[in-house]
Amino acid sequence: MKKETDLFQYISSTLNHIVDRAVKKYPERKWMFEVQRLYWDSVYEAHKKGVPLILHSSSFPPELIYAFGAVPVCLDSVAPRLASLEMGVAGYVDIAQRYVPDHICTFNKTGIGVVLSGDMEKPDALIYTATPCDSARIAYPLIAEHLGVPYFCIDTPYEQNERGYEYIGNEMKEATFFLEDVTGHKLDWNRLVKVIEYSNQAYELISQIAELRKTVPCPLPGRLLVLNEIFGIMTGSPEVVDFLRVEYAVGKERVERKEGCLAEEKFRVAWIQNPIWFDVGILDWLEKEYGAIVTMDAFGFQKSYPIENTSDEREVFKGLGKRLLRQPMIHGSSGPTEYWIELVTGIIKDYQCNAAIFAGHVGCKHTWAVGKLIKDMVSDRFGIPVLMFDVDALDPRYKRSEGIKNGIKNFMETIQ
Amino acid sequence: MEELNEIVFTPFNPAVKAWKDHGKKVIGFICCYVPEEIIDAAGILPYRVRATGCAKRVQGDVWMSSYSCSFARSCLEYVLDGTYDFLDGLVASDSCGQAHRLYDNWRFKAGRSFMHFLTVPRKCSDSGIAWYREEMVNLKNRLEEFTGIAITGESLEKAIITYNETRKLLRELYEFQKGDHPAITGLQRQALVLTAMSMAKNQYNDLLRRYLEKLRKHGPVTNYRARLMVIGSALDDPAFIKIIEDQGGLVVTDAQCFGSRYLWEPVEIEGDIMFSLAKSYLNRATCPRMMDQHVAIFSFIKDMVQRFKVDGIIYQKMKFCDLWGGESLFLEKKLKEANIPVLALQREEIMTNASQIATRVEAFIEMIHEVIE
Repeated sequence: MKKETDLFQYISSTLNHIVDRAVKKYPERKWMFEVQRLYWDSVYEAHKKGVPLILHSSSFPPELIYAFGAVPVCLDSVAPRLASLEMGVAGYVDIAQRYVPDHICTFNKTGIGVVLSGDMEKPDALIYTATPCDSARIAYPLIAEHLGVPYFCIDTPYEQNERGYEYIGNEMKEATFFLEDVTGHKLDWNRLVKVIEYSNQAYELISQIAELRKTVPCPLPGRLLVLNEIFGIMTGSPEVVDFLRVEYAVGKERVERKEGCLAEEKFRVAWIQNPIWFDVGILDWLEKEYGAIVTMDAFGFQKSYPIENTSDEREVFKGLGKRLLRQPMIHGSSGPTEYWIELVTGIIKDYQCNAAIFAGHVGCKHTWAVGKLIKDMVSDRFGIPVLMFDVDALDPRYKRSEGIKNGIKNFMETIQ
Repeated sequence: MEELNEIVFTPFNPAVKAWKDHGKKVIGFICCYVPEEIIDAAGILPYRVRATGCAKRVQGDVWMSSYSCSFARSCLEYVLDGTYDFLDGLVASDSCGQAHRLYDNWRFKAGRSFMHFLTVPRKCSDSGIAWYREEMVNLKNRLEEFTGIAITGESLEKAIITYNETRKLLRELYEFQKGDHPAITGLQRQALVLTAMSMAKNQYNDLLRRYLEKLRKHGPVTNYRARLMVIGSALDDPAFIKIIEDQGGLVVTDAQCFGSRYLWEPVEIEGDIMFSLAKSYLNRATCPRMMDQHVAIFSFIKDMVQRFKVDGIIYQKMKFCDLWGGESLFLEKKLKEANIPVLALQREEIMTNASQIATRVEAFIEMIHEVIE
């Protein structure tokens, strides 16, 4: 297909424009915007600077790519990034739907569309994993085939345990050999150790921020939960540490002042499924209209998994394997439903939630398949109201913001 | 055929009833990646979970939602309406997202005393085979605990021999459709394959042997206009094949997990039995769940097309089956390059669009016929 847009240039320049405007208006929030600009600028400029650009799936830990001095670009971050920009994902989804059924997840349809359109600069390689879902499992190898670049697949077991981490650890080691071939360089262990150091700091900070959010009133807005997803695609970089450090400082200061981010916090909401990427403003609206703050979400929730012994190769690869299997989103998509139940239960309890919203992304068939189990569990165990609705979290053509807000409005008015 | 139909359409069929009457256990299994031989070696009847004949679905939709594949929802319906009450246990695998969620719902809503889950690797690598071998050993250990019977190397080898005999006989069955004058229809063949999943294999082997004898004397099927092959999602409903054959197509072969991909390549025992089983099960080009077998699946299909002189392929995709649905991006391109006509159809377990399917199949056959002429 003929290239019509330079996708990375579009994202980078659009973001620069948006960030410049936003910083002028809200200079105190510069840290929130800057990290996104840094990521997409690095992607756009990689080849111009002669640095390898490695495309990877969402579950693959970018630490290993950073360790090779290459620039990681997460294929699955393209869709949520585009969804909130003027271009949206519709054009790419339409291209993909000429070849694959509409029920394939919009994350993957966007990825397929982007690749088939030729709009994406060819990366030097692709690394993908067998997580999180069938839609991704089928899309990644096909994308690899169409891209025509070297690729490597990391197999991932179903359950999260030591045996599984070991298994992925071996796969990570294989991925290292693959990256050595692609980049033409041997892995510089000292560089990897530095990257792991940054990532350990980032993991620690993200879990400290999660702790802060347990405070009543919640010190940080729901929107930041969505922004925090940049953690997963930038772990191992110093930039994400800087971003999280400021976020933590802002939250901590508010907690010390016993201040919440809302004037009056009426509802503490557990967001059980995908955020609505095409309109994150819905979270602002919830806060403003109903004093309802999303204290934590079961999609992006991330615990800390530090890698302590960086002199032990086996431990490092196993640690990366553990991080892979314990990434956000995997909770609801892989492993027995108990993992998800445990997570949701923990959130509702620890974050003292008095309402829950299950915004079921239509592409997440595996989560819908146990959605009623989860919803009933929340109602039975905690007696709190749960709103469950369907949405395409990336493509507003399925259900527009107004429709989503109407549903939420009815729910909020009932429970008020 | 009547005997077969009773087995195909009645989950608690006479063969299973007779088995249970002897005080023996029956364990259901989800997906053909589960190594039945181990269950068999424990003296238990392995029974493939399917939803053939499911005509009404209420609870399956409630628990799994309308965003799940209707095969999984229909199987759950059979679990929750009591149809599968005769099963003493269940073995499932993470063959696909829907299979493992079917297992979860089953556990939560109607758990049995024996519930076991296998993690099946998605790469057929050395470490993948080693992993799967360990999974099989775990299954063996759990079955031994459950039954109190030791699964010995001897009993396992005996089961493999029996299953290899089934594989050989099934391949012989398919042979009857290879020539210009097939002795059997696709509908009859599928009934025989589904029967294999629903009764003890040694009994089945006798039944199939008798059937094959009859086929040798059987006159050819002549009233067909095109030789077709069916590929795609889990298809356990003979009614779909019937629609195709009613339009003048003859389904001479398939690449289906409820068809040729169920039991085909023999398990070659090389040293360690569990290793042999693991290698054999992972190596089969069966389902796009495997991350590294897309080319192998296409090669198998292409080979079948040539060997069975296939005029066209019906590529049926269950709605919400992402694996076979998404595979079209790869497969349809390859089939086009190989100059093999393809009709892609979306399907639901409970067919409400039979006439629409019939119309499209008829037009496809017409198109093929014009090309042949």
